[in-house]
Amino acid sequence: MASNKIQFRSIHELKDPALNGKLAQKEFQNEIPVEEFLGDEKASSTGTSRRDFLKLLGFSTAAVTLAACEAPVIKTIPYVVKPHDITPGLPNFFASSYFDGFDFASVLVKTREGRPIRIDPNPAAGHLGTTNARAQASVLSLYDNDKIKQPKLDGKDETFDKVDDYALKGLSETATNGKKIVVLSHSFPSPTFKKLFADFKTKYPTAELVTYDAYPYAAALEAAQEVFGQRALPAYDLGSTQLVVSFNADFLADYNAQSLEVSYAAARKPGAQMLRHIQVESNMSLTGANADSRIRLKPSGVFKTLVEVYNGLNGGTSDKIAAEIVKELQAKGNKAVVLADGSKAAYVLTHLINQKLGSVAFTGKANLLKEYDHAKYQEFLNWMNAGQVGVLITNNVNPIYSSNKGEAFKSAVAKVPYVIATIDKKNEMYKAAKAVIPSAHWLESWGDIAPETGVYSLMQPTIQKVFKPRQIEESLLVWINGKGNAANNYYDYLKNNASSLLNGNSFNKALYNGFNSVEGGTSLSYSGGNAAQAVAELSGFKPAQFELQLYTKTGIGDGTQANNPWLMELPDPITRLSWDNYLTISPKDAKDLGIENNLNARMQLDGETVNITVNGVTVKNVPVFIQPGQADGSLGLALGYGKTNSGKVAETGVNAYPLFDGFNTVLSDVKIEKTGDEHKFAGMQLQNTLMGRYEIAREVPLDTFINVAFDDEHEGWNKPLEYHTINEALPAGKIDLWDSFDDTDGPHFNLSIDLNSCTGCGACVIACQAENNTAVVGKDEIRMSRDMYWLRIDRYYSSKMPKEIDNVVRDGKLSQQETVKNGLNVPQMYDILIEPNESPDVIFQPVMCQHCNHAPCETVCPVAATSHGKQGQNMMAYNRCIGTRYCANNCPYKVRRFNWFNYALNDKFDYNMNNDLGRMVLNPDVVTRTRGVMEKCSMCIQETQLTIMNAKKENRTVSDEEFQKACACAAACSTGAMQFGDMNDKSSEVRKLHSSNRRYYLLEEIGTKPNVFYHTKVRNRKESNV
Amino acid sequence: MSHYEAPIREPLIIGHKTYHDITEDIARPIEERAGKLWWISLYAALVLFIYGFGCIAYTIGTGIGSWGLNRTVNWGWDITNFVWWVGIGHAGTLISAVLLLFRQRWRMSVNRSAEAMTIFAVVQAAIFPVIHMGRVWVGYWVFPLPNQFGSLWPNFNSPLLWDVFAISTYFSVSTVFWFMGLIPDFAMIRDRAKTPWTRKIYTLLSFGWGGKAKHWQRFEELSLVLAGLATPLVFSVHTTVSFDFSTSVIKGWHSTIYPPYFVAGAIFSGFAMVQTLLLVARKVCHLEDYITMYHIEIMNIVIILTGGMVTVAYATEYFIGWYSGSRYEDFTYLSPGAATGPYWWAFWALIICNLVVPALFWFKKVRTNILATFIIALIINIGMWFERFDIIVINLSRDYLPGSWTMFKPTIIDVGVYLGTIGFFSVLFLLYARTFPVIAQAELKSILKISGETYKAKEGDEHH
Repeated sequence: MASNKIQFRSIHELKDPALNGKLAQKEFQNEIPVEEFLGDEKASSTGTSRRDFLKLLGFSTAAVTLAACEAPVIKTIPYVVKPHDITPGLPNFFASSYFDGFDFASVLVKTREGRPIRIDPNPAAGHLGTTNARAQASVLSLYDNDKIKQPKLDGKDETFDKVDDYALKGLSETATNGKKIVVLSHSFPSPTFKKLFADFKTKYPTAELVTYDAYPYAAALEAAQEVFGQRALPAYDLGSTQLVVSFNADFLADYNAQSLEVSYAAARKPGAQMLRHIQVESNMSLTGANADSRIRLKPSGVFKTLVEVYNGLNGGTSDKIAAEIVKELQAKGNKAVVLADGSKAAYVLTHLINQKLGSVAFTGKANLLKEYDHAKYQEFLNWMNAGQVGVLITNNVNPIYSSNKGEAFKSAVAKVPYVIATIDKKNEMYKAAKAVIPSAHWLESWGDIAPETGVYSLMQPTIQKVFKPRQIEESLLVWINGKGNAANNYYDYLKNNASSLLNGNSFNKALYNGFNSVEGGTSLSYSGGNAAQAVAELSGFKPAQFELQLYTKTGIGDGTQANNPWLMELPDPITRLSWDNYLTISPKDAKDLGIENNLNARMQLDGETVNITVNGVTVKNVPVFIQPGQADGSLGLALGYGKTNSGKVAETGVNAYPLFDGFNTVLSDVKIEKTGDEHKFAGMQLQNTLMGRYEIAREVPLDTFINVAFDDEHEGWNKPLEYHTINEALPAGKIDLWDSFDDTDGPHFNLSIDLNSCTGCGACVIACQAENNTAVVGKDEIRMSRDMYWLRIDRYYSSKMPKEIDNVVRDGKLSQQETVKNGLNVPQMYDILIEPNESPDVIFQPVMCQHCNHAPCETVCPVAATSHGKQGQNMMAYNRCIGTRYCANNCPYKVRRFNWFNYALNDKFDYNMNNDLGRMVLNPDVVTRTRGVMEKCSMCIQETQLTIMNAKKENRTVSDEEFQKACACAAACSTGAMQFGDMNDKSSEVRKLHSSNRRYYLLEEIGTKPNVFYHTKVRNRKESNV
Repeated sequence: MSHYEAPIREPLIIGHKTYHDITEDIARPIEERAGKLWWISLYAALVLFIYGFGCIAYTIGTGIGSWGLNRTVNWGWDITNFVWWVGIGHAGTLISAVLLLFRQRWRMSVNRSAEAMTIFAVVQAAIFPVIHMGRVWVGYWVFPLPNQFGSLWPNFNSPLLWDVFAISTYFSVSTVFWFMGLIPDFAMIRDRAKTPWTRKIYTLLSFGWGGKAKHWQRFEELSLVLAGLATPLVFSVHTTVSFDFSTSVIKGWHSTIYPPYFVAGAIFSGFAMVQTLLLVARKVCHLEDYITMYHIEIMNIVIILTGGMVTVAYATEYFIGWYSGSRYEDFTYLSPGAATGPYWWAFWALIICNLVVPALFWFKKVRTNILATFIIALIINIGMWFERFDIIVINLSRDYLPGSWTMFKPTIIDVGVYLGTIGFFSVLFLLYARTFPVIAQAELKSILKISGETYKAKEGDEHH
């Protein structure tokens, strides 16, 4: 039965059931009093007068004009359909492989909204998963605005279709006339590429794969061929060694294609078993800077010492230094290892020495990253010269720039009818090629790399291709299968091939891991080696007044990424100069030649240039830098600089490749001729010594570290700070002007920095730059001392104390009263201290905001733009900052950086932040700062907060490992020198480190109570050592 | 006020003046047409002024990077000039307020110009803290204004904020005090005015002064009250400015001696600037009868005194630097940090200009010689500029971590801004000298019969 109840919503509806319908018809519930308004006599009679009209007109014009002053609206385009795995605002990580022909690392790529913004190490990959500065910076190379954006034919933009037509025509023509088809690539240890090339060769039987590297490790490979019978570099592991003796081998950098820093740092944990490091070298290398004992010898001397050490181990030697080394080597037996660089003979001899010692550092595993075969390459050059090459396909190589026979190569290439270059810049190779295919960056490529025995690492694109690049594999597929073939997908090809390599494991799983262990592969064992010949060759190296050692720099390496402004600006860890390569010379030689480096009124270095000639090749206008620690009679010069037509940044410096034959990095009989031209250097740090302030960067000999208590009243090497009051001495913590913060609630962040593990490699500097969008300022601004680094690595030369003031050092402190007592006046003392010793010790000290609990910067800001955070950070509110710079003045650590100009969107600073493409690298979680505000390290607050939020969402506590990865610098540190974490987490690593007896605070006596602490460096050297 | 002055004291007004003579002498520069020299000076000053403000505009338009500053030396010429100008602005109030309370009658001939100088110098000084900000356009955030950011206050711990209050207070009190003293003199000009515009302007400026006994009584009372108010300010301003440095943790800055040392230095430089200006004004405006050699000498004696204090302060600083045994402290003075370092020239310029040269004033012959006084006063001005430069730049450039050490060198813009303020100051002072009574004639008339040469001579006769 239907209800006859009436449902009503209001009394009005009850009275008039049709009310609802009526109301629905009307837009406004009440009548708009139009009639009333228009019919109002008074209103129409007063009306809008002409004056009112003009007033309104004026007002609205002004208002419109003002409104037009608003900042332009930049539209963002939202996802219409949200991709399944991308949440705007949250990062995605992809495992991949960084490989650009020179460097390799197994990495995690951080992407935001589909664009990679940071490269993280892949912790699963061990020593292969560490990222150096170049790996960190390679993400910026993806967004290089100077790269070739379109395929070209005859220098004009063309479609791939047309380029492929050209290539296919060339290939078929060559296939019929029987000439050779050469694929000239950098070392490319990719199993799938190899297979692909085999397919290519099946289709075009005259095809040849030739490897060419700018920095080819030829000597090392030839030596391996001789000693191991295989063209592969031995992979070393220093983990259980106790002595490493290096002869010019920069093994913490690019020696042996892979830095040994991970196992080196692990073996150098202070203690009785600590690895001792002796470096016999000419240049002051990064490795030499970390050595316990460093012996300066020019290359001929290094070779001679190596020979003598070999003789010493096989009989005896009369050489004093060699005898000492032999003694130590013999004492350590198989726990010792010898490494050498410079020539094939040097490698051969070290292999034989290690064989003799039975060194455990030799693992039998092979590093497969380098494949250059000198003989094959020479053969290829002959083919070209003889006109036997019909098609030349190059893959990211430019021998015209990077070899000493560049011109010859250029004329040989001219004889090849079809030249197709896969290349990223409009350089010499571009000009020599008829068809150009933009090469794909590794972040937009599929691939696989087998970098080491038992390792299979996959590479996956993390972004849609930027412009129109095509990796060589795809090109080869098209040229094998023909255009438009469904089989032209390299991903499918890779997947198919990888499955066979993965022992049946899932491809997707392997791709997810990035780094995969596989069974089998190359293993190395000693099978030969002609010692007598090696000794003869090394002894045959003619000593000369000047000998040159070519080297690769931390930032630029072989020059592959020379157009990367992050790397170009990254100060060299040793010289602390950026935007240059230069001839390093010893202070004594400089004096003899009358070459000077002078500090100008802004404390920047002015020098002069020389022309250097070796074997009839002259490199002109090389700036000369006087390098303490450089062996007398030796010179150093970095490769990879002075590129032409490869972008503005890459044009920096001089090209040293014309001096490099690919084999020998050391050259004798160098002639120097002064040009009289001035050169302006741009330096980050021009005061090289600690001026007696040894408590800033502390170090202690191993013996003392083991035998003496750190807080021993007299001999203590890391005594806790005391304030001396009128009555008694009180521990520093007891006396405080300020109320302390309550830091027990939530996390309290601390950062630990171990000076003993820090090798100075600079990866953290670039990681910080990538994470925090710090600006590149260019050479002129660096010369104004206006770098924008939030994190810098100070490098100090600690000279052995001159005799005069040796006995005035007490507790590592230099006392003035004592100085005067010892008959030396104070200015004299400082005169002695200001100049580094000719053969100094080196200590690296990363310095960033110390996040003081009592921060001097916080009290002085008039607008409270910088203040203390609950989690221990010293925080900076950019939009509150008015730019008085008082905070920076009052910062004892000088870590605050002021925006002197707008660094983004400013033609004066035409680097990555001045173009849309380059700005894609910016981390969207960190604002770019405008001019007039102060900035500094935030302890990556965007990351720590995200970590905390994620844990909160999942209703769990944050694990220590998560925080350890939160700070970009600590995450990038390969040696574990930086550890970040929560002090309120009782089990955290950083808390454990805090209780170490090596721990100290920087400038603790000021009472700033930092949240960053350091660990004293331990030098494994006795008084009696060499 | 005692109406007796010992005859042994030198007369403060020489040349047998009558009241009318004083009126004529003081009004003459205002009523006469300007001479060529004045116009040339004004144009020169204007050129500097405009150039300087062009440099300021460029700085604001481009960024502080147009100056020579860097990551380690974040203050350079900006704050040096600021402290220098504030220091100069110290003599005026000291002369008009402190000396009023101490009944120093000689102040009457110099206080007007000294105070004008003070105010103009403080205006110059105030430019620097404003333009040295990276974001001038939000500079008003330093004031505790109600705002839309919630209850966001400035940081009352910051010495920079104290500066804001100290300087604005000093400026306003000095200006009121100065203007108040000008009222009877403006009335005098008003009464002599011949053109309607002049009359109108000076009528406005003289606030209806009628010279009644009640007016004079209020004038005297207000003078004393304002002098009482202004006296602590003389000491507080530079004390506060010194806090910018002494409360920081930078060695060479962090020093308890700074407040008295800065005040003494400020008075030292202020008097030197008064000498520099008055010696010129005296000559150009023919005021030799009012600003006598006695005035000049007595101001030189103040310079000896304050210079001595500064010397003691330097000596104390160097001694403590050495005695403290702190490597950071001693380094500031006895080392490449200062005396023998790359800034040795600035260090020795300071020592020579502030300690050695002013010591010449101990000789009566020197301190009563006008040319010598003028030159030494100029040298002191230079020396005091170097003092501030040394404190700021040398200490910053050689700070705690040697790895951060670097040096400062000014750019053309730095120089331009500085010259611009000198131009601005000169423009103001030149305009002042032509439109304001440069000597407080009303006050001066009150001592004519006590300290005028004619009357002194008479009194002397009576006693004999």
